[in-house]
Amino acid sequence: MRSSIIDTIMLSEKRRDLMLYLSKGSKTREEIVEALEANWNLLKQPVKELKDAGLIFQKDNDYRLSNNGQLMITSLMPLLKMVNTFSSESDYWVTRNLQAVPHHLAKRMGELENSSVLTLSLDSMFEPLKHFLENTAVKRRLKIVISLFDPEAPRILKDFAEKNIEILLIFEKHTYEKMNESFGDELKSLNDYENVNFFMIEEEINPPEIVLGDEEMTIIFFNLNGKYDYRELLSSDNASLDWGNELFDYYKGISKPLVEK
Amino acid sequence: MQSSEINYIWLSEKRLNLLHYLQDGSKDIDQIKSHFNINSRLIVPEIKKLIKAGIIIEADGLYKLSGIGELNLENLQSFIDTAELIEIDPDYWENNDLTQIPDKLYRRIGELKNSELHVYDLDDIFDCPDPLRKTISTAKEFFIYMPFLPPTLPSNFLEPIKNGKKVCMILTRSILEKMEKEFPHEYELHLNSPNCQLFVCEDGILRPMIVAQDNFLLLGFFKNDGIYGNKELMSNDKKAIEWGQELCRCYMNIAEPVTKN
Repeated sequence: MRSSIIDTIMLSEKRRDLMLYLSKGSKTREEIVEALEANWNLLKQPVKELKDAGLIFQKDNDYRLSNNGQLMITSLMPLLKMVNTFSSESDYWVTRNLQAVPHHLAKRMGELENSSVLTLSLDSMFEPLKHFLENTAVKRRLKIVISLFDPEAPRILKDFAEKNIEILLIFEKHTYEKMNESFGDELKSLNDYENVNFFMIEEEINPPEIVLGDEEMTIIFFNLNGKYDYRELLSSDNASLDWGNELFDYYKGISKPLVEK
Repeated sequence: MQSSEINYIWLSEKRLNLLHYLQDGSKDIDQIKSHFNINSRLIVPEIKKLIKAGIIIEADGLYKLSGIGELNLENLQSFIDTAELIEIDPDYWENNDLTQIPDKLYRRIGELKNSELHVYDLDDIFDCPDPLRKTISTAKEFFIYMPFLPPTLPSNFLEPIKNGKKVCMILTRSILEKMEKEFPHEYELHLNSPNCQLFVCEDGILRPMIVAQDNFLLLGFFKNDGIYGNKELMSNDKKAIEWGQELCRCYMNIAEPVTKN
């Protein structure tokens, strides 16, 4: 059952690195030598093996992935990225509860490889939303999933609503009920803004807290016991933001609009 | 790129087999030992290494995959699937035009691996292929994308439509017009039936032909030179069928419903 294409890619770091480099586009021999920091004599053999396997093509001095090579590298990327993500902060990731992340997005968690894990300091650990918003520039839109009881949230968000920022706010059901009990009026006056829309997830899932600004995002995944352990994931690269947006859209898709205006 | 962890798993068939075994659920050490017919001295060190890597976790004497381990293994499987798919017929996949496959499906193309390539001869190229003809009568749902007009198409799905099966058919503008002009009766039957939804999309882009039934999938790719190949992909496999249906839905989203005027 062992596949020869896979062995060709997996059993040599050189061949794999070569393919990963060519996945950026066609490259000359000189570019390859420079990028891989290797002597061409050492690359001749791996290049020949990849050509024989039909994974790369050569035309004069230019080398590129074949369509099949492209297909293989594309299907390898989720795994490589995920291993990168998880191995850089493995104690964090091993202890995360990812059950509320839908499967198709969980498989692509490697897109978060350039995010960093941050432990909130004593003075901001109970106000992750406030902490994030104080440290990021928001000009257009905020997308938020609230899973942590946060007495300050309505007041903070009102400032943004005033400034005509579009706010999409998804509440986890129990968090909403609890907040509505204590701060019903504040929530209502926030929801009265034209540019603010409330949603609620009715399913019994324990979604992570998400705050998505225009160019930055924080996600708080809970630990295996479903508890907030004052650690958050901070991202500002496109791949992470795209992933975060897709996760947000998924939650929006399973939630219901709250309170008629 | 750090990929030592992947190497580490891939290079040992023993470790990989152990992980696949744990994919079924938690096992204790005795189950593992007897399943692999191996003694503790050989397997325990492997388990310990995998625990250290965060891929396996132990609780109450039971070993299971961690969330990360599961996701890694699934991504590894997608990669293996892609290789197996390509190895069925490397030339076929190298020459197929896959540019109209959306990223999310391109990444998962290995889901088509349980399929066969049907090669047409000159004398049967205009016929409805056997496996399709045999499955049409028992299928309940049809998703169809037609970039050309096979002579059998206009009447192929009339029976299911008449029998209350759901048919969703997307045609390019010129094919729709051709069908209306050359097969006015069949065209009307499609258009007027509440069981059939007709869609039209603009000409100019070569997308693969799709017939995705709930019990059968037929895919016909154009080659990179724009010529329709003489091979069509056929499958009864659930995953492959779902992939085909999803592709058809993507095309439906960029098409317009055809309405009676």
